Formats: sequence, structure tokens, C-alpha cells
Amino acid sequence: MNKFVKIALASALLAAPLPAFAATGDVQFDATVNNTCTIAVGPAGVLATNVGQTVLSSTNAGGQAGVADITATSAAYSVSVDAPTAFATAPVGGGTGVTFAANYASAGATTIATTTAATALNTGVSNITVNMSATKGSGSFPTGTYAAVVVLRCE
Amino acid sequence: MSVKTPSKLIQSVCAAAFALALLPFGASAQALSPMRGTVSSYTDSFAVRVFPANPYNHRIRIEIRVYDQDFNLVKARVSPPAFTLGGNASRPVNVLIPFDGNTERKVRVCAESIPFPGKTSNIKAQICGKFLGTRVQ
Repeated sequence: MNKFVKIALASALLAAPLPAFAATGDVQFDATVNNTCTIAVGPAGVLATNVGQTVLSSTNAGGQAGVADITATSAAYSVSVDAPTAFATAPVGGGTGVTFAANYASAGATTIATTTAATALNTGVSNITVNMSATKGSGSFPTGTYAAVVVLRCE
Repeated sequence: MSVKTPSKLIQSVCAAAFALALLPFGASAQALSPMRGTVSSYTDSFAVRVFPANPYNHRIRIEIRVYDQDFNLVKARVSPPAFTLGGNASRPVNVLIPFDGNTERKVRVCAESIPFPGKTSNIKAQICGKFLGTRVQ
């Protein structure tokens, strides 16, 4: 009888459910967020001539400004433009004695009246409008296809 | 011999001049990070790693150039100096900038868009991070 009780107790202990040990573990996620500036260039601008064909400008009748969106994740950046120094494409004689100018304005996150100077950007999306002109010092622009590039900078 | 009226003349010149194709919006977009940094170096040059990114769904062509404070080109070793980035992609670019005998040097590391052949755009996007390298004596 005593042996029977011992075996029964041992069996009961073995049959008892093992305690569930709850374990926790930390799953770490890391990230580094750097401030950044993004420029998305939209439709290209169009230059048109004045009546005397001495000025090619995006503000002349028939011209169109170039547009771009700048997204700044910090207010530490500025926007500026560089006027072209020469035509990328021009007929013979078309690029001689030409003075270039460029300016920009902004709406959206940053409101900037038309300017040529570097201007601080606010955080968010700024809608930039870029205009440029090419002025012939003497004579008029010969017929042909012209192309010029304005640099839009975020820094 | 027919004589063109001023309006027709202007129209013909306008048509010939600046026949730039309109690009779809966002045809050239890029981003750069970090935009600021300070590096200390024991050698005669300092290294910067930047991450140009293409936040859009189409591929773009990017060139990395290094300028000084007056926007003169700096002879830096850029690896890779130009590349194509797929949509929503980013990649590291290593830039090794010489001190050129100075104890510190301020440079701009710029990501510039490169229009694909056959496409024209009159805006070239340029995003410049400003970095200061200090030589530890």
C-alpha cells in the first residue's frame, strides 16, 4: 500500500502541467532621420521674343515660366538661381553678345516675391516659379532653336 | 515678293525659337542627405558620405560635384561621380576632399540632375550639402 501511494504521488507529479515561464524580449527598431531638401522640376519654361527680336524672355507674350517644387524638411536651407552664361543650343550668331538674367518667386510653404537673391526656405513644399531672359546686345536674334538652362539650387 | 506682317514674323520666330518640349511634372527630381556636416581628419583629406535619393517612381540621372564657397569646382574624388537611380531609390556616394594645405575647408557637395538625351529642361536642379572639414594637427 505504501508503495502504491508513492507511485501514485510520483505519477501525479509527472502528470502535473509544467508551469508556463513567460518570457519577454525587446525587439529594437532604429532609425536615423536626416534633414533633406528635394527638388522636383516641373514643365520646362518657354521663351518668346519681343517685337524687335532683341529679347528672348519667358515673361514676353507667348512665354512661359519654368516651375519646380522644393520640399525642405528643415528651415535651415535656402533657394537661389543661377542665370545661364550661354545658350545650350543656338543658331550661328545667336549666342553672341547676349546677356542672361534669371529670377524666381515662391508660393506655398515659403512666400517670396520675385527676386534674384538667395532666400531662406520654410519647412514644407515651396512652389517655385523661374523666369529667365536673354538680351541681345546688338542686332536681333537670328531665326533658329534656342535652349538655355537655369540652375535652381537648394542648399 | 511677299512681305511678312510684323505679327506673322513674330509668330514664325516664336515658333522657331525655344521649341522646348513640355516635360511631365516631376521629370527631374532629386534629394540629398545629409545637408550639413563637420568632419575631423588626421590626414591631408577628409571624407564625406552622402545619400542622393530619387523620391519618384521613374529613374533619374544624377551627378555629384564638389564646389568651394565661391562655387569653384573642387578636385575631389567622388565615387561614383554619376549614376542612374531607380524610382524611390537611394545610394551612398563617397567623397574624398583634399585640404589643399589648409587646416580646414568648407565645401558644397551637390547632387545635380542630368537630363536624359532627347529631353530638354530649362531648370537644372542642384541640391548642395554644406560640409566643414577640420584637419587635426
